[in-house]
Amino acid sequence: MTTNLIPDSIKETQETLWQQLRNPRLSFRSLSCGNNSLLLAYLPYLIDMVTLQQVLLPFLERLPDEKITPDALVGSLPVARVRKTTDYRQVTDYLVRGWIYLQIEGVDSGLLLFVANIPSRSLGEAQVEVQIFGPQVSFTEALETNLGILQSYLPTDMLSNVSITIGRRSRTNVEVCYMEELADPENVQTVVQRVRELDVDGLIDSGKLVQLIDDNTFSIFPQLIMTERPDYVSEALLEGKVIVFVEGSPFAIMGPSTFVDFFKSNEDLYIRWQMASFIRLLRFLALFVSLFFTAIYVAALTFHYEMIPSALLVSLVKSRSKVPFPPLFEALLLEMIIEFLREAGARLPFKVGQTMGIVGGIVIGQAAVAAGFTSNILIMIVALSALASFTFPSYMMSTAVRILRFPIILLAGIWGGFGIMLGASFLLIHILRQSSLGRPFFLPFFPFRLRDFKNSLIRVPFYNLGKRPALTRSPDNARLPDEAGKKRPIQ
Amino acid sequence: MKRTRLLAYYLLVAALLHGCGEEQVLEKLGLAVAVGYDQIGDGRLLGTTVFYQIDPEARQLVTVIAGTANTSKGLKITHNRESSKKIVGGQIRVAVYQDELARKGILPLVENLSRDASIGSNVYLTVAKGRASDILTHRYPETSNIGIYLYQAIRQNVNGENMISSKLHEFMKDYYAVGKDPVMPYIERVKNELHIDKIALFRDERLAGEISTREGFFLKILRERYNKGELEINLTVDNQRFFTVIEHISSKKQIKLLDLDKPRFSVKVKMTAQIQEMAEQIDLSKPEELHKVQKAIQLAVKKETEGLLEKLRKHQVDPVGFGEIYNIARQKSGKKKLNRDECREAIKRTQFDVDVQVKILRTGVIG
Amino acid sequence: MGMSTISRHSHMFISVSLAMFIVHGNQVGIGIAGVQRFIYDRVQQDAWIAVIIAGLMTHVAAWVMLKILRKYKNLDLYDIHQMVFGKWPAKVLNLIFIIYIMGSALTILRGYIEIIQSWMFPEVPSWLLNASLLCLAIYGVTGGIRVLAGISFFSVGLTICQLLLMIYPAQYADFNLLQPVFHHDLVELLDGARKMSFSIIGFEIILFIYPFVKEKQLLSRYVHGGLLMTTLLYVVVMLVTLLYFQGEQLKHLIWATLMMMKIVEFPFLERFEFVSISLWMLIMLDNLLLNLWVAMRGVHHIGGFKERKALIGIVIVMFFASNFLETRQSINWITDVFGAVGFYIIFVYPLVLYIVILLFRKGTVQT
Repeated sequence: MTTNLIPDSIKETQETLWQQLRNPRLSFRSLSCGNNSLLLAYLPYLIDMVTLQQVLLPFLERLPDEKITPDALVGSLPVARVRKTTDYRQVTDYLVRGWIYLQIEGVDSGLLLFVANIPSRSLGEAQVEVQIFGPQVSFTEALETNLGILQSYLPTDMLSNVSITIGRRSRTNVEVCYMEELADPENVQTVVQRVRELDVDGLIDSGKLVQLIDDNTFSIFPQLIMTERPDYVSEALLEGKVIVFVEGSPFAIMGPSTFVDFFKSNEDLYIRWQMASFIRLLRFLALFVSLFFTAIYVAALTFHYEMIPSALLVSLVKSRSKVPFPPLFEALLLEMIIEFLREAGARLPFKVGQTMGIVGGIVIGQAAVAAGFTSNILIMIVALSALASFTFPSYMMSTAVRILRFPIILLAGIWGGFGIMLGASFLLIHILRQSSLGRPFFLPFFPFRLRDFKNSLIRVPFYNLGKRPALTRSPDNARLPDEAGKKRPIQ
Repeated sequence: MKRTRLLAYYLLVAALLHGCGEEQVLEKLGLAVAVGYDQIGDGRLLGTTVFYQIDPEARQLVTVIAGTANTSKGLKITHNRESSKKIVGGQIRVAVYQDELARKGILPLVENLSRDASIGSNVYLTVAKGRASDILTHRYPETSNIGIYLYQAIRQNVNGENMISSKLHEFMKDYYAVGKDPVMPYIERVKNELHIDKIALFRDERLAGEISTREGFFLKILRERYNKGELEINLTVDNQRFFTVIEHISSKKQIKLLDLDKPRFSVKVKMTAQIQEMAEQIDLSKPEELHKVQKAIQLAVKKETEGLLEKLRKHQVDPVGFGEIYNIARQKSGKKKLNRDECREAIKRTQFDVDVQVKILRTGVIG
Repeated sequence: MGMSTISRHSHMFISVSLAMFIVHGNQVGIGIAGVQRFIYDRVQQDAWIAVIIAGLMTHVAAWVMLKILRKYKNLDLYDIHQMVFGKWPAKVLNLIFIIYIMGSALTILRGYIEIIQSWMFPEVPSWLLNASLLCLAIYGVTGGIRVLAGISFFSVGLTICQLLLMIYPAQYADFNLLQPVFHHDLVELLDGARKMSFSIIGFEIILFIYPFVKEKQLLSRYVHGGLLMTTLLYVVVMLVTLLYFQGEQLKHLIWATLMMMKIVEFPFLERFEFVSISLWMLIMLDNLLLNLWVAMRGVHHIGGFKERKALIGIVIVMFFASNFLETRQSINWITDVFGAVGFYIIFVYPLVLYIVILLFRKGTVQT
């Protein structure tokens, strides 16, 4: 500590800061007003120049002639946040976050003034989790903005934050948010502890953080939901979940989450419950289709020809007649093509990406069938299972499912139905073994909780969702007064 | 620990790849759809197989192959020798047996089908008038796929008409029953057409006689829960003879043994039907007229049922299962269970009290 | 990462309602695929009554087991042996139990592989199927009692789904086949019920999960609920089997339940038995996992090995033992042996133990 003390001479401070930052853009401004000579240090690209020139400088120039102390200045400086410091390491820490450093000649301490204008984009629509209905705004990269949006959804003093700085080099701000009285203190404790215990070099995005704090790093399944939607986050907070923001990431982490949660979209809450239930069931059908459809095709054509109904047999036989590969190879090949297309579409610039879809879908598909490379029934099946995987609101989950398809196809190609079941059993055991913040991952199904089930595969009317999910173990369970939970008030 | 676990998974994957199941890839197979069995001199079998084969060069999807052997398994070997693809039975839908062969007994052939795990239970068994190979190898102008055509034709007749179903599992069940005999559709090729209008009666495993599909209607009512079918009936009302068509809606049967020592059965049939067509102008809206017609239909159905039962007894077959009922009654009175021959002997000279009640539910759209 | 230390503890316990699924899941395994013929052999059409009697016997035996467990607060059978008999006799008794449990796990595993080999992949070596299923088992068992309960839960769900498919064979029901009812005396029926024992044991699992159950005072309700579910399931399956097959047929059917699945057809899928056999993996998996878990706890108890090491050891023994059982005869032999031994261990021994406890120990002992 003692070695980091700020020297009382401005000149020396300037030298020290130079040595510390080694940034040619580090700007100094010396002012002398009366008997005082002042030093301002800042990084021009991080601060609000307008405030500096039109507010701060005029103020400093009008300072009285007699000797002043930093303590006297603290109260009168026309900026929102002022901090006193005697440690030049802290000074550099703040400079790179958009603060201005102010020192008076002959005083071995200085002031840090918050005049930041950190470059960021303005609010935009959600790009990853698109919803047709409901709020459209999404989080941005700036932590302060995100907290602002969130607070605007929940303007209550129950919204509590814990700020943690992690990353030995990146010094990233991480914010853990939860609703006081609604969130289980144990959950909050788990998250805070996991984040605090992290000792990493740098942390740039919440996508990285989530992998560092989840329950099982070896599982392919994400165990904590990531979302860019403030409405989703607000809803989760009201359910008693814990949210983690990372500076510089538009994605918030929420937990505890269950396997089923990854197939829920917040939009399901905004549309009528019958529609929402239908769509939810559709997504679970999609999960099944996506995981097993191609594998079933491979199994049936490789081993269980007996199972094909006679009506289907002729068209299958005809479409397969020109294909030179065994079904397993044919299926893997086509699945790879689809994955190539998807990846190419994701990497290419937006406008080219659209062309990509046409090239991939029509040209390659048509040509593959015409060339006798694959059967058109398989093309349909593979496209269907890819399509099905895109119905999941969670990008992570849909990627996980698409990858899991490959081992299952392989097993189907080796052992047919037995192989598929082997894969499915493994998956079942695997999911049962997982947890999310220590809560069972497969929750509404196992252990079976009716209260959570009502908002899982289906969504019942809100009047029947009178309690917070069992998942979060909220200390305050009632979402509706008891009578309202039983019957709808007559209007 | 982590490392050993990884090693275990690695070994598992390696082993999986090594122990791949025997592939039955669709295009390497000849998928048999229909099989036919004939007897040719000196006890040898002539087997005919209709099968799909996937071959981009072939003009026709369906191929027919024939060969002779001593057993049905031997036929499979002969066929595989003749064909470029491995012929498999998992898609067999229809099996056709020559009537001459069926008269000598087809149990070994049928058992062979049911023992093979790859062959389904829903295969239709049929008897052919004349050679099965004649039916399967003939080129029909209407269809290029005789196997599926036959399958669909039988299924249509069984589901919608008076034909009695004889899927593999039904045949086996009837055969193994003590005091009940199986039946099968009897098919015949007349020039370019297939006729499925007779029902073959079996005594155990042997073909013993035939009845028409009209008689099949009454048999079906006695045998199973049957709620379809139409019947043209010749009626006499007020000394007028005319035809009517009734649509059978549902029926209940009740068969009871009246006398154990001198077997006598009461056969009660309660039938609900609606009149489809009336040749004569009879005002059915009048209750007494309707009643008369009802009575006349009752009488006609009763007569035909009695005729059928008489015919069955004459052929010494028991597709209804009177023997079974007799046997149960015997056991209930404390006597021992009869075997199939004793059972057949016991009900040889049985009497039937037939009682038919017909209820006309509707009289069609025109009063 | 050591952060979920709090939650690890809650993984040690299961809620009491899951006991129902564990009991039911561990009772229903491979036996239900083909137990019918053994019972039919003894009591013919009254087989379903024998099933009910066997079900009643399980309730009595479970009642005795619960009585024993209640005597001690929080102990499983291994501990109870030690409390009652002292260190070395307990070790011997526990070893017998471990061998028995491993034996029944082995019969289940081998039984399932036999089905796979006879219906789907005759040429895949059984050691490979063994290895793959055992690897799956290791992964499951190391997940702890919660995962096992979960697998049981889903296995029960799947059993019920498959039970619904019994509607298909039930359409061919011939109620004459149940006649005459009550045609066997009690001795014969009891003999039939004893034949059932291999397929209905498995509820002894409560002797071992007892310390892991929350709210133990409610346990008996759920255990008997699970037993009742099993009995109902078996009665339904037995009834449908009796109605669908002729006795003569049934005598030769190794897997009668699977044979009934053969007639299940959907427009997009035929030959449901192949799906059914695959799905059966989950139904038998929970038996395998629970038995391995019990054996693992036992070896841990008497040998003081770490649980994970004990498990690996057991699995290796199982693997080699299973490979010795190559032929159908050897499988039948081991099934018979463990069925017979199981009868005495599950239905007779608990009563003996209970009497010993009542005679030689005064008051309830708590640790």
